[in-house]
Amino acid sequence: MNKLGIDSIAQDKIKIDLVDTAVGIAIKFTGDIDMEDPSVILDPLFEKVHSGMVAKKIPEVQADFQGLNFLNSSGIKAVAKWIMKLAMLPADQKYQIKIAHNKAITWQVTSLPTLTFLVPGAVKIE
Amino acid sequence: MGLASGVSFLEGIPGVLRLGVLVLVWTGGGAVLWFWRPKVPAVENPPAETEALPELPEEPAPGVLQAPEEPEPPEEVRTPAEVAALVAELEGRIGVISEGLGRQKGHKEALKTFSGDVDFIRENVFRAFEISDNLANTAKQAFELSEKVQSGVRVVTESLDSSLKNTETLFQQSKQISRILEIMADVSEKIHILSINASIVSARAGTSGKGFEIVAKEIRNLAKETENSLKEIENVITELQGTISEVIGKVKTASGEALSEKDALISVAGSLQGVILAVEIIRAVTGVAKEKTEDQAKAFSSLESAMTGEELELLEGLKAWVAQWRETYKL
Repeated sequence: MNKLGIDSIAQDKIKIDLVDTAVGIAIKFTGDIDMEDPSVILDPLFEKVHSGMVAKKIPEVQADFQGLNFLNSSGIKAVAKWIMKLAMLPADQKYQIKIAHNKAITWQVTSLPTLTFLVPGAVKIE
Repeated sequence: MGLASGVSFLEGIPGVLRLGVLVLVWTGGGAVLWFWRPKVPAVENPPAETEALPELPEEPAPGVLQAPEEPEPPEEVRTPAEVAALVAELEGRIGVISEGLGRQKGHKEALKTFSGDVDFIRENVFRAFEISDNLANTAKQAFELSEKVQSGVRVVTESLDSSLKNTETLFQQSKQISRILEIMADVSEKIHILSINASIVSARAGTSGKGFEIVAKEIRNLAKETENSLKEIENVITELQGTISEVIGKVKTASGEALSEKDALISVAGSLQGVILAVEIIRAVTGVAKEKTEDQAKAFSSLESAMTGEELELLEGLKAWVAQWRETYKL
């Protein structure tokens, strides 16, 4: 089990795994997020991640989208909502979000860097 | 016994009532000056006289002067000098209240300006939200169109592949025809040789072989014609094979182009999908900003309405009363 005690998710065409890293935790997305309302899965997941990161003072989380072939508008909205929670935290409680993207997938190259503008300095793309 | 009273003052101005009313009472033996002071409820920890400001009523009347119903007998008598001092103190306190209200007025003006700025920001946030909405719809339409074109290109590519296969089959069949023609040419040549042999045999046979000679000659002619026809067919087949080769080349080129267009289209579709997602991020941010500015605008509105002009009216009433009292008592 990972540091946050959050179980992996496998539903529809999407698989989400959480694994510990040297500096924090990584969330790996594999498959497609194209269901009608992905917030049903993603909102609770991101809420647990956010509150766990703050409570346990974990400095970094990596959101790995390299294995994600498709993401719909509702899905990216859930991601943006999570990142905006980070903006509401005081400076001493903010953690880093590193976004790993696949340069061979065009939509990732176009859209994911936009997320770094939500909380400049705290969200980075790699 | 007659009674003359000084100016009596209002329920609406209890600060004044605290100071009391100067009453001149005529009795049978002369005039007596009384200073009537109404009873006020005891305060547990009354502030020091020099620091406490007069209490304002819970529901102050807007400056209308009314006579008290039944003044109680005065508890103590104050000299004109003491009264003058009290009036001066009241004027001092009125001055402090004026200053405070003046500052409040300044804050209200600043709030109005700030509120105006918040409204301006809110308008811009609304516009950004609408623009991002419009952009998202445009990107969605472009994405759907690119998907349709992709589908069309897929059909073209499949047709080209099919045409290529058929053309290659045609080429193979033409080659088979060529082989058959070769066989036929061979047979024709043999017939020609046979006819020559037949002529030789018929010459040896002399007169009885003459009929055979005619037949041999006809066969030779037929073989010749067959050979000519075969040559013609061979030429046509060769030309056909040339054309087929050309068509194969062109179909292969077209198929290659279609495939590369398909890849480009997939890339365009991916970019458009990325734009849609980026715009969705913008909408999420502007949506939050829209809510926040609406909350701010409501908060400012509440704050503004809390700063009413009632305090100013009350102050003006107090000032008017002090001026009148000064005039009446020549203070």
